Amino acid sequence: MFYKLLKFVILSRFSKQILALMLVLLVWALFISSKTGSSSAVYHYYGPALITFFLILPVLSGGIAVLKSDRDFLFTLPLKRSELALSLFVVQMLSFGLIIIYILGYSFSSLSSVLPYALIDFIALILVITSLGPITYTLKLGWRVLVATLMALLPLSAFAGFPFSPAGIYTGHPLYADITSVVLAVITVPLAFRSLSRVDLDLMKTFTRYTSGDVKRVRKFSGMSPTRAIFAVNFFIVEVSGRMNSLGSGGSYRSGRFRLSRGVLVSAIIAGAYYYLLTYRLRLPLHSQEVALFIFSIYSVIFIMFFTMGVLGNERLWLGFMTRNPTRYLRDIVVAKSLSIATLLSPLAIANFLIALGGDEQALNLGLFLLVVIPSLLIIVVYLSAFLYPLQIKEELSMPGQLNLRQMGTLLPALPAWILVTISFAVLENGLPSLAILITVTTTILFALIAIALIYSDSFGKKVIDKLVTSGFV
Amino acid sequence: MERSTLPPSIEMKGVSRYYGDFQALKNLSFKLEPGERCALLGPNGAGKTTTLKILVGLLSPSSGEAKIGDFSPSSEDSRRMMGYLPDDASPYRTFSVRENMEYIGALRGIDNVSDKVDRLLDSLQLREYEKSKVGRLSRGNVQKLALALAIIHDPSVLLLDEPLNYLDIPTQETVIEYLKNLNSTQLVSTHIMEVATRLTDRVIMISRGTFVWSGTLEELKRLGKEGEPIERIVARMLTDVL
Repeated sequence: MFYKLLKFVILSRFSKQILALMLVLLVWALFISSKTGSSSAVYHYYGPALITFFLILPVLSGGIAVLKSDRDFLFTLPLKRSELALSLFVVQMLSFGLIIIYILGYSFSSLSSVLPYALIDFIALILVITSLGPITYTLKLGWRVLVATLMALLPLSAFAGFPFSPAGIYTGHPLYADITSVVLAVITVPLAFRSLSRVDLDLMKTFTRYTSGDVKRVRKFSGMSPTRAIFAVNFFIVEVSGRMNSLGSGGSYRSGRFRLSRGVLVSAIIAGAYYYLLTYRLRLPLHSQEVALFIFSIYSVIFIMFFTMGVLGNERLWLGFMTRNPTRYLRDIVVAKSLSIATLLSPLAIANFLIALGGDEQALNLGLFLLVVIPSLLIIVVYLSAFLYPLQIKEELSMPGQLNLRQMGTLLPALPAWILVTISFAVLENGLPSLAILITVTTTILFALIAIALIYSDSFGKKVIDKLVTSGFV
Repeated sequence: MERSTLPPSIEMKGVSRYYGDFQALKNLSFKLEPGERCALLGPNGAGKTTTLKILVGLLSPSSGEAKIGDFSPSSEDSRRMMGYLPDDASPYRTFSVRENMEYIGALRGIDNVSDKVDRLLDSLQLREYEKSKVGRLSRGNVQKLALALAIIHDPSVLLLDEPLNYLDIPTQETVIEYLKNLNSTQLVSTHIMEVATRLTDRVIMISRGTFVWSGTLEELKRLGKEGEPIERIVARMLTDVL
């Protein structure tokens, strides 16, 4: 019975093709991890930074991989709670764990001397990361931010030389790293099982709290022109959402919004601190500007994906799209959101341009990347996701649909950006700054041109609308 | 701009629509005269929703032509005239009730949208929920909001898919009264004969994407035996086609 339940729970959330891809990624990661010889210092920064990211992600944006139909049907069946919890834990691990193995697999190559420790550390970490979503999804935002902060401090403390850190494996403390990760797993896994065994009750309570209440300040649109109203919603308000067309979040869909002015303020503070640190070369353990820039750019690409997920998912064809030419409406909202992201990132881009004036060529790359490539990527990803696998969000706190291979394609436009960062970094390391800049400028122009071509192509816009309608958008 | 007193007609001329290899509509033709109110009847999968989506310009016909008055459904002119309520309509979930209405009002270019919103909030008994997030509303109140959004600009052509779904009886009466008083051409897709008889005067029946029958409700009743319920007559006609 358990096997049947597990099979049903897995296949209702993942297509067979995506499971096969995960297997390929796993084998590839293990292959990479078995290779030795790489001694790049990058891994010593890249590893802890990614562990930090994956510990924060399930707490802030995640949840549990539950479908609406589970609430209506599966949870009402007379199933053993322990079997249900185990099945849900497995799918939770599939939606997180294998990707983590894949991504962190590359850093194994720098850990050849401590490989057995590294394996124990990562297995324990995968269990911890899998458990964090089910443990924290019922918490209010304030508590989740607190837990996320504590979770971030653990791996980041490795940079300060603290041995009891899950990321200590990268800083010469493999045994202490294993002890920390295993202790964390021993604490979090039982809590996750407890949470998953009463998922129906907790989910309903969380859902009721999440959807209830009034808006704090009702926005006024009276007297606005149509274009101004679109900008009021899509430019001045920034929407962040998780789990729509890509893997990497915990399962359920969640969205939040904040005012652009507040976002720019936070962004300016971060940019100021960033500029100060990199210009005055404080004696950080992370004493390599290239590595700092590298990690920063990886983070920015990952985060930008969250800005694109709700753009179409939260739209309503029968409302906004009926008020004017649908292709024009789509163009207006996408352009407004893209400009909004550019504005949000502009303080960070300016900080990089200032650093570049001080003689660091890589900073110019990153400045252009933040100001042009990421906003262009938003447009490209939105249009591509409409074609590949559009999903309309009709209810939050549940998965909008099965995860399949086509959704992975949505991430493809991000790949050239990642490759750009890697190449320009490698080129710079080899002492060819002007070539690195040429690569960046060319890619920047290319991305901007693709984005402009997409938004101004009426025939492409019509195909997108047609695809949305036939995919069941209302 | 002063609107002419006669609302526009609605017409489908030989419309076919394919989804891949599947043909959802097969050479479908019908016409609603200006100001006429018609019910679009048909079993599940008959092509009712596809018909409405073509008429509102969200889908293009594979062949044939749809017209709203003299305009193509996808033209700016017909969009300005049309109000559309899909089945299971969902407004913007992250907005409040008032924000939804004001936003769509602004996109529609309505002057004094606040006043218009206030009137609709009162007439549809949504006043107490104006600051509530849509996610908090009951299904009935979501439907009331959806109706308000479909009619906020006083459309002269209304295309409604199961408009009375989820509504309580007093609200149903309010909505029926409101829709009957609108100077508009209305096409109402429904499964429920009671809805058809309360909201419309004529019936268009389709099945498997093809036209089956059209006539007034009186003509439909005359097709049955003495005392035979109208639902049974419709069921027999649609079953004969299948």
